[in-house]
Amino acid sequence: MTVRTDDVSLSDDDVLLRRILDQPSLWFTHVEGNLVASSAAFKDSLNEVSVNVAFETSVETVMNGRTTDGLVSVTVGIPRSLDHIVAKTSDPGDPEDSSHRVICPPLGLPTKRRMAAARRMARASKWIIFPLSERT
Amino acid sequence: MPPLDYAPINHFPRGTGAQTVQVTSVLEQTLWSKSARHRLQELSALPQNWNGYGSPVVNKDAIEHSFTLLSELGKLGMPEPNIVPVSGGGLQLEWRRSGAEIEIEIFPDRSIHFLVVDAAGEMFEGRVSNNGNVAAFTSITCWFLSENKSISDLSIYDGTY
Repeated sequence: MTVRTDDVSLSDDDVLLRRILDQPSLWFTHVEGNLVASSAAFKDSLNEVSVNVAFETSVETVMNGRTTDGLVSVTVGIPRSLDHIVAKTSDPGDPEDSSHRVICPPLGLPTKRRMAAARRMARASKWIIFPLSERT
Repeated sequence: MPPLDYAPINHFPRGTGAQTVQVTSVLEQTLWSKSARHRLQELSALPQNWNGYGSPVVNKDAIEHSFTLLSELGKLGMPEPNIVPVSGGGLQLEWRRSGAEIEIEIFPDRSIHFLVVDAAGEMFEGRVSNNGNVAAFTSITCWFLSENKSISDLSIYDGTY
């Protein structure tokens, strides 16, 4: 796996965007009535969760015609506070999109902290566009 | 797609001299078995790049292992989980009840990670190796189904089996 490094050009307040497939299992209604993304939305079996830097793109570009998907945001400071990094990618096959980043644990982070980190990122995320199933 | 109509042979009780084995899934004995099986079938049909981020299809081994695990957890009295695809080919099973949560992630290599959260937000994370014993979830299941759940009541050695 490519060694990733944190993109220090991003501040903790910068916003990251991540699409969420219109699959009702990928979110749930919290007891307080708000819609909460599942931690699964912030996981990848290869430990690299794709996101886009909001100020380097547009919502329309990120949605990329996927009109039924939802879109959530999370600030860069959230994964960093969980000892994750937000890294640029330049591997063959990576999206040719300068706003693309991956959230990933740094080498050496205990595997046992991965699920809790994904849950915290999901709970900290905010909906920008609800998935089609939740639009009224 | 694995043959979801049939559970692994070691799930069937041994008869006393019977020459035939009743090919009935243990999972089907639970109230939520059909919908869980249907859900696994739905997820197995997700196409390549289902999430728009290049994820491969949900791994067949992960589906098969989820089915086995659900059979075991159903026997322990667990309610129907939320079954969620995970980017990269895995699956996640989720339960929420009285403020407590369990997440079980099944990886393409059949390894299992789990996260337990109590009503106070305390979390405990662990893993089961791909050769691990799903019976490791017995204590977690008992904890989840009990009243007044607190992580401190969960009797797990170190979260690794």
